[in-house]
Amino acid sequence: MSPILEYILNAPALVIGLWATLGLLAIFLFLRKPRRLLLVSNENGRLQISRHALHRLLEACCLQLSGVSSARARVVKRGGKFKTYLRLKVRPDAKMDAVQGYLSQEIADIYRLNLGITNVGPIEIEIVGVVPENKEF
Amino acid sequence: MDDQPELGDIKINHDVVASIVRLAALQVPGVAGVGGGLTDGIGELFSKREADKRGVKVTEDARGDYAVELRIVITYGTEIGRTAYEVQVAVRKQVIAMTDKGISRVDVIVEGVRMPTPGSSTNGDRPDDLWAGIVTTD
Repeated sequence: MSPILEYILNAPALVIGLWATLGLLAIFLFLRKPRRLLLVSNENGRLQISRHALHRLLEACCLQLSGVSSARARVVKRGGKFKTYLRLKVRPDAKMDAVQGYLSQEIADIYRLNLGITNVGPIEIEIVGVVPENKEF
Repeated sequence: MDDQPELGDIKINHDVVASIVRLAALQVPGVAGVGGGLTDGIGELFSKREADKRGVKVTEDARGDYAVELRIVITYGTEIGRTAYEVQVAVRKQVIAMTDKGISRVDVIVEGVRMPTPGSSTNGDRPDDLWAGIVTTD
């Protein structure tokens, strides 16, 4: 009898259950269809964007501002509208009202002009930290 | 084929079509790369798939036309709709030119966004890069 088979036969039910759960979880994660957003569909084919790419696009937009140090974006589709949550870490010299005004406008433009999405929901911006600037010698 | 049936059929492997698709997509401005998703990475680890086919799925319908699914990474700042349309046109044109077979559809999936690096071209993964190691000068 092989050691692996012997181990499985002698292992308690809890260990087997744990391994089975981990195995099922791994299979689920591997087979899970990535969530994508359909942007265009015509006779030439379809254009979709993955949720990850959408988040990266919005984060990249935030990082264009010199006052923003890092950004995390999350988009939730609720009631047919795309609700956007932005969590930002800003630099000490950032002007919050300017950041809020610029991002609201830019992100709405990304949705409408770049992605062709018209049902844009609220854009919620949360400042979660301030990152000190590196002092140069 | 009808006038010379004794010569046999010409079959093109789908992997070859996938390579054509990938190279055609990479030539479109605004496309930073093809493939590169998590599934591709894991798939490559286990299936020994070659890098020049990643991100492309080619199937053939009953009429013999190709259906292509292509996952791309775009450069930040490019217009997604326009870039995807240009990819569809470029892929269709190149595949028809090289295989003489039709394409029923080209599905484009934007899998990622890459920031343009200063001093580099918009296409970070251009097809020319693939040949950099073997090009010799006389």
